[in-house]
Amino acid sequence: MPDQTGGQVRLLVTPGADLTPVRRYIDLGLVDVRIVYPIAVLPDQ
Amino acid sequence: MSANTVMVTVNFLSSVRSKDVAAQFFELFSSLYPELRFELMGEIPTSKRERFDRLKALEEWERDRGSRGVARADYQFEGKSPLPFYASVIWHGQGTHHTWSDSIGVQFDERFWIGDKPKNFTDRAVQLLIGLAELGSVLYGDGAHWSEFEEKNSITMRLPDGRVAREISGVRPRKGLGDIYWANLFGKPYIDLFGRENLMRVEATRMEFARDNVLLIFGSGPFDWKRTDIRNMQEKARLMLDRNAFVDKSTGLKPNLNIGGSSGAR
Repeated sequence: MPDQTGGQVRLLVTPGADLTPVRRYIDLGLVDVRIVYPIAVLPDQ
Repeated sequence: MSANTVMVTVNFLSSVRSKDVAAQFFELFSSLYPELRFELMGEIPTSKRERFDRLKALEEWERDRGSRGVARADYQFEGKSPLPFYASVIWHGQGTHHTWSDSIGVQFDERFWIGDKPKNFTDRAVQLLIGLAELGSVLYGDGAHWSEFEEKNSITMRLPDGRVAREISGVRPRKGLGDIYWANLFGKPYIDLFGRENLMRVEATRMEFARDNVLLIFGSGPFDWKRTDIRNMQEKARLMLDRNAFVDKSTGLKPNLNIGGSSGAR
């Protein structure tokens, strides 16, 4: 749930997580999402 | 829901908190997508859903779900057949903030575009964007496949412990824009900022006028953004419009236009 006072909310999620439920919030700049990969190399795009 | 969706969203300067706007939205949606039926509805942040009922949906659309005296609502309507789709309204108390804007968005499973599914999904998504622009005073709207949004709004960083992270971060439409996408709807504040004549000169695949708003489309659909020629066209448009309205790609610095000013919503 975004912060109603205007603060930014950051969600930490695991790779492969379904972001669909929060996509509207991300799109609006209400929520930042950080996906942390356990290895030092990102998977191919 | 499949991992990827195509999302069409319009952000408004005016309030969308009314049964009238809700009724107009459902009318618009059913006229464009007569084969799609909403089945469930509920608050976005929760998993609690109830059966969709058109009359009750109008009530729920305008019901205040805020707390501590802050009016706001995040509500969603869902369908599952033949594939998942979501429509959502997010509104805030007008005049109580200068950060947020009300918005209506629809997400479609990307598989609507693949194979022998109901026809003209691209054209209908464009019509949806144009139709949504009729529901209020437009600030900004966009249409994009999630992969385009994620690619253009994410940075990769190395954490202190050596792991790698990707951060996806959108921009509040009152502050500025993330990038140019497949579909881009500019309301009056952005038309004034970019200049109408300047906007007219942008090379796009398609340009439409929706009331007093300008819609720029790049590519023949939401999947074309990966094509080099389309990316180049989008990049050219971004450079031509500029006005510090976009996230700085080299520094990741977000714009701070403060549209609507400190007095809150207009």
